[in-house]
Amino acid sequence: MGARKKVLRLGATAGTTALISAALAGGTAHAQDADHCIESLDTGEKECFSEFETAISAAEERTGNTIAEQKRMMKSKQSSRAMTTAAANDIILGTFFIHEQYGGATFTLYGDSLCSKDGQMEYVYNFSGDWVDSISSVQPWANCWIWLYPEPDLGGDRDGPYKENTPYVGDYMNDRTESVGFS
Amino acid sequence: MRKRSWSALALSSATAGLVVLAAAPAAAAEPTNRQLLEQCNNGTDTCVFHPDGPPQYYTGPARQVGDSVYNCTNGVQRFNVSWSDTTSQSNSVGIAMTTEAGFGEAFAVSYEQSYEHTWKTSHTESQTTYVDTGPYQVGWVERQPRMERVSGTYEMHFGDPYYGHYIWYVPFEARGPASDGASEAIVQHNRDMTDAEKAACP
Repeated sequence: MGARKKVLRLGATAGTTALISAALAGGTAHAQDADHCIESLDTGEKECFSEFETAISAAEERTGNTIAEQKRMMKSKQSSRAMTTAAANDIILGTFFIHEQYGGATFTLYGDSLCSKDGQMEYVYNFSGDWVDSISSVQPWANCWIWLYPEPDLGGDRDGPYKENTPYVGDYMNDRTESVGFS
Repeated sequence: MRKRSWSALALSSATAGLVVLAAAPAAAAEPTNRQLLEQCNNGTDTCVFHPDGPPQYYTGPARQVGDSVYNCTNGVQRFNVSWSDTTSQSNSVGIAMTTEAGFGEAFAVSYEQSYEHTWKTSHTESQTTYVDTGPYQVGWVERQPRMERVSGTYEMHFGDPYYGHYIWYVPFEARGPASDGASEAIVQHNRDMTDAEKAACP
């Protein structure tokens, strides 16, 4: 699994990114009987559920912390990331669907901040397993735009930006996506 | 207090978050879904409805349309039953929804964008149905309206903290007349008259 945060604004080093990717490589196996997954782009924590409503609820639960938890998270982030200026709490960034019109299995990604809209890619995610070459519809959340790529690490052709709920990504990138970017 | 799963929150900036944390202690009450939806496009920077799947079509409960007809003769009679029946939308929050403003507009925009047809707030079906009724029987017509259900989540961003937070997620489900153009069930029924009904015959 290749979940990682492209921390352009946070000033992370390539070594940091590699470390995060390596840590995530041993993450949760894809659950065949739980087709609705959520994953944190910040920590790489992944969970899968049998129903989309449960998955979204879980994503919201992860992003919906108590005031005390927010204080703790912010304190933690401030101590570990001195350069952090925008991150405050996790938010849902986007949902990807296997079928058109938001049907079938879903994958929801959440991260630690809104997109800064500075012309750079805020988050990058590489799909794996059954999710490679499977996406047919997308929903950008927060203020982020979604970009689809047919190769890992934003390689190859590009399609986007998807700025709003999109029931069909189009023939050009349907069932071709291997990595996504949020900007 | 842990947030309920359908009313989660997030803060958009650390700086603002600190201000919120100072100004809004943990005891701050949570708004209801109704309160939140009333803020959609009426106090929010953005308000977007995210459907969680394609529309789910189903058949609504059967109900009689038009008047009953009474055959007070010894032969089979054919009656024309003219009727008009309106099916209206409803939603999980129980507040009136107009597609011209507020959360209803956000819903309608997302719906049309996603499914390429217009959300019907109501639909009136008018017909004349022939009902063949036997001697001393009562006839009537029932309609089972074809409905659709769309569910999902509102994502609301506030410029200033609302109940202490910048972002709120609200679950929502709307039900309304189906827009897929499929036919629906219209059925004739007959039963024998009761003694009282027979007594009322001329």
